[in-house]
Amino acid sequence: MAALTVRALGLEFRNPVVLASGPAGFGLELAAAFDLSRIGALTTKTVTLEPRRGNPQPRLVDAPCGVLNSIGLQNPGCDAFEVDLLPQIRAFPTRRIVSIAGRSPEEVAALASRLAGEQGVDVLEVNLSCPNVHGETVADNPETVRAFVRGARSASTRPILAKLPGEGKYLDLVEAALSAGADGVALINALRGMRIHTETGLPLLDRQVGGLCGPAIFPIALHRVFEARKAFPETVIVGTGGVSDLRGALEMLFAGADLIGFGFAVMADPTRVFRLAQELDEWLTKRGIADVDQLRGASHRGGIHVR
Amino acid sequence: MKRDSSEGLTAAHQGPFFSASSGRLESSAVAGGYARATIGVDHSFVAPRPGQFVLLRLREGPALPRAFSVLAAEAGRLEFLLKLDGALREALGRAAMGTEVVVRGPYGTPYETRIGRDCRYVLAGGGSGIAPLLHFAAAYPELTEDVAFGVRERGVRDLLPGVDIAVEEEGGETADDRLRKRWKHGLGILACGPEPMLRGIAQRYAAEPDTYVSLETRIGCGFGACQGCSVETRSGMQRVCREGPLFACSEVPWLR
Repeated sequence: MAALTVRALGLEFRNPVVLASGPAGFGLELAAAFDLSRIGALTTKTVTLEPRRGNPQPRLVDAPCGVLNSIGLQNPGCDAFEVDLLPQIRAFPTRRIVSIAGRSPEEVAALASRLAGEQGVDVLEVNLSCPNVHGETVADNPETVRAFVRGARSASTRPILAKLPGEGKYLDLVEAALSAGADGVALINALRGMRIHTETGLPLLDRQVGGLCGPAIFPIALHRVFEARKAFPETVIVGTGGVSDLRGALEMLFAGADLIGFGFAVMADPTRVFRLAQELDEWLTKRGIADVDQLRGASHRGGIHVR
Repeated sequence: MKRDSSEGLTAAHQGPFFSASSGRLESSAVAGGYARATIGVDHSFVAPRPGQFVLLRLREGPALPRAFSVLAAEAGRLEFLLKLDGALREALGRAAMGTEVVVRGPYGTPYETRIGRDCRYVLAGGGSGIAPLLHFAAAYPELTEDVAFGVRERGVRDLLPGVDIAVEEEGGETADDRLRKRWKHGLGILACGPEPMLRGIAQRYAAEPDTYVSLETRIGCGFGACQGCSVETRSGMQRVCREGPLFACSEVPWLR
């Protein structure tokens, strides 16, 4: 048995497997079928102040090696979240990361403040990169990131993760988030993409753009995590984007991720995600590696066989 | 065969199944742009009830599994009617016997638990929408008054011998035309098929008390978490994979 515990954000995570925000919903359906103590943390679907209906159909469009999603932050709003969902989420035998998003830094602050007194919210993740809502939250510039993260920071003493896009000058965005008080970053969100109907010549998605997720974006996500680790050796990174198996998880750890987010994989094959910590343990044990910590960032220091 | 095992129903409502199986393609016949395929699965795989669906994935196919309702199901064996117009469906139609198919499910609410039981139904099916209705008819003959099935090309009849199907290229008659002839007051409608067909039915029969439509959207997780399949209803956003796929026609006014 290798040690899988990850110490990050002032907390202990049982293992590095994190369900990323979105495909797992609020975890209720998964909790009915799987033992949540087999994962390190669950990230909730993004909560906004007011309820949101999300986008019209179609919300999912196939793409080579992945899918374009356009859910549009459908969620019941903070009131219903606190009353109906949080009491159940609080009882989950794993860490709970609550994803929040707002139209302004003030809205983010209001949400963070609402959740500040709630038990069972281990970490706040500020979603700054949803590609699927109009006129907000794809934070393309450091100023926006800084303002939104400051909003959350001003209202909460909880650990804060900034969920950032993997596009543009993403390292500047990481820098902005950290300088505004984030304790770490989740890299990357789905990448903006589109598809067009070949019979009509019209975009398949109502908003034209959707978020590309799945194995298609894995090498991109891996590279962003690698670069972020190089630039910020000490910060906490949740490496997310197209990881679907043990091999992808290992690569994320080598690139420098502390925790690994699984999004698309939860949609495609949840059983596999819940088996992953065990697979990781077996892999480490077979090689005589005592602690998963030994893998983190190994690509930056000559690999795992050189210390 | 009529089955009335309440066990399956209760379990389907307690939570999603994560029964998964490495299935094998056992038989496949192709005609008229459709394939009838049988996939062998573990005997422990929970057999879908009429209206429920399973997610299928081929090792070499699209990354996200696709949802398919079944034509017939029994322990260890699932049968499908596939329209050969998508990457996965085409690959399945062409796949060699013994090809591994990853199967997960079943998901969705069985038709019989969504419908009123005090009337009989005309089952209106277009294309591969015929499959879950045949599954229903076999399980619930006492609820089935008649069928109104239609396809474009005649080849499909070879895949479903003995089934009464209108073929558009023969006489121009559609499922919709047959429904007009065969439905009368006091009967319900269960409709499954392409969206234009469902729209036509909704326009004419939405005000009737027992008109139900089986909706199709691209399913994501299948178990109710990701909201990828959610549609607007009179009672808010509902998931095709969980509350659905069958909805009372009056619940989805946008369909008209």
